[in-house]
Amino acid sequence: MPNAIELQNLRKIFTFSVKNPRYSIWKNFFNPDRQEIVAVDSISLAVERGESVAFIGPNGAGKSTTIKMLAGILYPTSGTISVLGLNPQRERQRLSYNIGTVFGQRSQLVFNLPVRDSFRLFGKIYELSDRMIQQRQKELVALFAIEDIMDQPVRKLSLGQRMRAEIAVSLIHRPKIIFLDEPTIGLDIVAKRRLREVLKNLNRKFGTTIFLTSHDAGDIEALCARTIIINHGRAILDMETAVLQRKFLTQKRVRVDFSQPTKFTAIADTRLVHRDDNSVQFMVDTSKIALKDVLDELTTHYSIEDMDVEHPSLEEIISTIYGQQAR
Amino acid sequence: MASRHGSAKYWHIFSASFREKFDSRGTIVTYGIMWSVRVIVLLLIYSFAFRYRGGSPVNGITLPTALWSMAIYFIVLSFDIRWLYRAISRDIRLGTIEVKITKPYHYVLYHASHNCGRGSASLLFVLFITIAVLPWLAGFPPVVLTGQIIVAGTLLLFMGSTIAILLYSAIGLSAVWLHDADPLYWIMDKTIMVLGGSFVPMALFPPSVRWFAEHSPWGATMFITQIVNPDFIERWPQLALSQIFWVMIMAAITGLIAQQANKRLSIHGG
Repeated sequence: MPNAIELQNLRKIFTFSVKNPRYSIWKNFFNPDRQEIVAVDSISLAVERGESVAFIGPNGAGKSTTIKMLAGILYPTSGTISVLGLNPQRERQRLSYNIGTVFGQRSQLVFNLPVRDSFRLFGKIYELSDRMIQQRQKELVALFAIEDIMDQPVRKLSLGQRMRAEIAVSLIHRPKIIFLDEPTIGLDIVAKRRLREVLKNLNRKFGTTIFLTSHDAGDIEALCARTIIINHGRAILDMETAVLQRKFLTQKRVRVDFSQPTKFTAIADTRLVHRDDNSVQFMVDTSKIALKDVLDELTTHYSIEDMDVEHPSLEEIISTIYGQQAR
Repeated sequence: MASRHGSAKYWHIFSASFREKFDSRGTIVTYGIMWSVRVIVLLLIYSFAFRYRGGSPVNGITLPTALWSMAIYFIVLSFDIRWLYRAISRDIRLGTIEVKITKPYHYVLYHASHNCGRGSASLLFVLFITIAVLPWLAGFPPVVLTGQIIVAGTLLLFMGSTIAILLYSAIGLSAVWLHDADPLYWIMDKTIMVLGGSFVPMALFPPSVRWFAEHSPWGATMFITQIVNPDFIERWPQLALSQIFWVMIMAAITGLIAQQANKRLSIHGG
């Protein structure tokens, strides 16, 4: 059985015309200079069926372009793409029966009709029988907890309700892969958490491959076992999300409250963040000094009332990686 | 089974769009009022023109024939095919095309079914007003609707609508190259309006203009308006042949544009 996704040296170059101030208005109009932007630069990767992968990067990194090429929306400039063993550009219609797509705040529901009508319409578009539509609708309504909004016109739904309905409808044909481009954008914390739970269940229950792009580290932490980081069109990192967190957990934040006013002396190989008579905060790079040694020094020389050692969040880790790339 | 279901999905898109538009009763009624105003203005102008000629036919066309011909034009117009351009070009400009072309249907047929479904709601309302009001205002055209005329009329309506769908889709798809295809659309739309016989029925055109209208894709979209002409029964096979020709040409051109547009598509953010 072929992998869910396979990319080989995938490239996408966008060209556009630019005005040259040295040219006449006629030359700029009829024969302008062309500029190229390499949006995706030789990406090769494979995603197995049933995997949940986060495909992340800063704005303009090339992640949306890649996802659009995977869904057959854009044509690559060069390289090969295989999604479930199909070529998305040449076999887009055939592939569409096996993939689901959710693009941020773009809606595919019938705006003025109740959500129920969108389920039926999409069921028919995917050529499902009435019985099958009923059965799938029942499953998805339960999974996404949207029974109470089924008879409401889509235009009356809140963003969170609509996103749940969007994703539920996009799964009516039980796709083998779902491409999610910023699915939680604009949602509040409760709606985000609910949506992540549902997607996790979907991956567990039906083995649906999830390919997600998001700027929200919470989405990645909650949903994706694997993270691929892309920047300037290139895949710069590809590893398990848990390993990514461990590997980049060399920075610890230590916060200490002293039991009496104390004059704290900075420990070698640490970076002081805050200091007063009663407390201190500093960063420890564990690749330079063992955390145990730092704690030993603290407990030996100071009278401590309370102490915290914090890991950086995934968001901070990702931000650090982007920063390293930028340098 | 696949092909039966394959075509059935377009019916479901049509039907959902019809129900969606039918819910916006205000828009439909407004459209009906707009239609009535147009027909009443035409009625006043043409009544005056025919009275000026002592009520005798012009080019073999009587006042009721002229009015029914133009009323049919506006009935067909209410089918909303022209807004296919707007729907497609908006999809391309705003990037909403990405949620549509990843579905298992033909993108242009999706929009055609969607627009025709929406248009049908207005069309039914306008048709109802026409049948209820126009005989009172203009009388009946001197045509007996035989089975042959109905079949021929249906055929010309279907093929004319197909040409219109292809023309407006081609202009809509050109938004991939042109950031703003509105000027092209307006040229196309007004050419159809003039050559299709909106404000002057084709039968009243000078011979050379009528020949051009009957041999151009723009005029071919509205041959159905000639159903009320006394010579329709003799002329419809020739009109149908012209439409078949333009359906083939426009299908080839629009197919080519769609294929190229597909390759050149670019959506902001990718």
